[in-house]
Amino acid sequence: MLFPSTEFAVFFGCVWSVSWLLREANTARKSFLVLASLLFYAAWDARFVVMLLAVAVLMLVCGQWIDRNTARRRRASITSAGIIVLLAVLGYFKYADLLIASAMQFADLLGVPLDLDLVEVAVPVAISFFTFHAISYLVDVHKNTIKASNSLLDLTLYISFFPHLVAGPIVRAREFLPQLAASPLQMPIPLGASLALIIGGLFKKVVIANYLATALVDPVYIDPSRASMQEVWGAFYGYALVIYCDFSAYTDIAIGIASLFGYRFPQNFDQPYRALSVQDFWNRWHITLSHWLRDYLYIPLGGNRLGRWLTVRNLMVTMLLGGLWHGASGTFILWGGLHGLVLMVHYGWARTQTARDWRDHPHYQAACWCTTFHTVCLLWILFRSPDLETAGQFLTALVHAPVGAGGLSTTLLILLALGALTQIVPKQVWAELAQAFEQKPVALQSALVAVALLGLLLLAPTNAAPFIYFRF
Amino acid sequence: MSQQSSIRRAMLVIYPALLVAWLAFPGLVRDWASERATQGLLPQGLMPVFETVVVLSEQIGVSPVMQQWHDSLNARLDERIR
Repeated sequence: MLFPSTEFAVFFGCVWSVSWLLREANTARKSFLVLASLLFYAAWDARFVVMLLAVAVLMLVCGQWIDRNTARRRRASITSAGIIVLLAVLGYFKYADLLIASAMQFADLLGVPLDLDLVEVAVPVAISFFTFHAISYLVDVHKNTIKASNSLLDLTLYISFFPHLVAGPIVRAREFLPQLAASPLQMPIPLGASLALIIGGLFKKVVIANYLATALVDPVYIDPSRASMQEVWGAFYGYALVIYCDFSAYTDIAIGIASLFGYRFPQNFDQPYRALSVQDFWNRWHITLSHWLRDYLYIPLGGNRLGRWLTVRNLMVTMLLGGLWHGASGTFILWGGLHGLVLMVHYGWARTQTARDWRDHPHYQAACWCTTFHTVCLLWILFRSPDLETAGQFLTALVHAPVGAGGLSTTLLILLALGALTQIVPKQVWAELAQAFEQKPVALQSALVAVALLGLLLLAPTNAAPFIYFRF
Repeated sequence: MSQQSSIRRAMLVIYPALLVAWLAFPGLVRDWASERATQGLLPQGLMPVFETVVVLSEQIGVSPVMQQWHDSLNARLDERIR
């Protein structure tokens, strides 16, 4: 069930209405939202609904068990056991085939051929996301950051709530569970901001990402060697906008919809292509994943507290695992590893006296922005390419493709400019527009929303592609 | 502190807008409902509701115009984008 679909519009209309009717009965309302979320998940793949419920039960049992033990080692053992179970399930579904294939290749290299069967099992939708939610809950209970919940209903709603279920943002239990204590629909909601996120998100996905992907990026990546120089460079910059407009659209819509239900989700993107370093980029891109990796991997590994060499090791391990989280393939691992390498270089450079002296100089900042943006775009090639061979072909085409054999249409240039505007227009402008919207009469507000929806429906291609992050 | 609205007000804004979108493109909802009804996921008894909206929209001339605008806009975009 895609957000920009008739099915979701009907689903949302029904669930929002019933949820409002149940506003005085918080438990009934939460139960209904759990049922709706499981239905939403079942629309993707009904086979794995039981797994989602099992993860919630594991969170309840382990959380309560940790909470009842005061002995530090015992609490750590229970937390570790819970995390191992979660990672084992994730590993089986997502990485078993990569491990088996790698083992066979390694055995071949050693001259001992190994013939193993691949698991070839369907990967449950959103398994990475709900596993990360569950791990953060167990660790937070272990660290006493939050109190263990004794409500299976709350925990199930926490991991399965449909706006964030499939592709994030990753919401921490300490942010979400307290919001379940009372029915939030009795409180005012930021309607203008929510609608700006939803309609803006739909525009980014349905218009910018869809058209740029289908008309520019996808054709070039099918065979980079046949594209012209203009097309290859168009796809180079175009994919940076496609993946941003696609993924940020999903999380914007998720945040907007959750807000209409009275729940607040954290921000997930902050104009990432304005970043002045790759470290800055990761503080603006998929913020909830970056912070998750920082809090539950980088810092437990020692963070930057154990000296220079262990800091760079921790950066590399975090980014390699971050790459692996995106998918069991060499391109993702290399993408993560190269981001780790760039972060290591930045870590070293940022500590020099020269970098400190130049930090506030506008020319230095412009050079930092240009270097960061092009580094990120260059690494997106690995992220987008189905294999290393295609990535190599694309890199070669960036230099050797024939000039002038085929150009970019004005419409494509307009779409690229619209994508760039998402990074250029200050966030304050959208906040002010949302604020102005709040002050309009209801009839005008409704008319504006209707016009926006009709515009989107008129512009929408007949079949919208699924969101890129669904497969993670 | 930014200004906020009640859920009731949000509903008064959003549901009419969704209804307008339904009236403008009733075929989308009818086709979705028909597919679900065939699969047994939606009661067949609801289908007349969706058909009625299609007929109503056609009678007042909304859906044919919107569909024509959609098709011509998409065709022009397809033609100009490449």
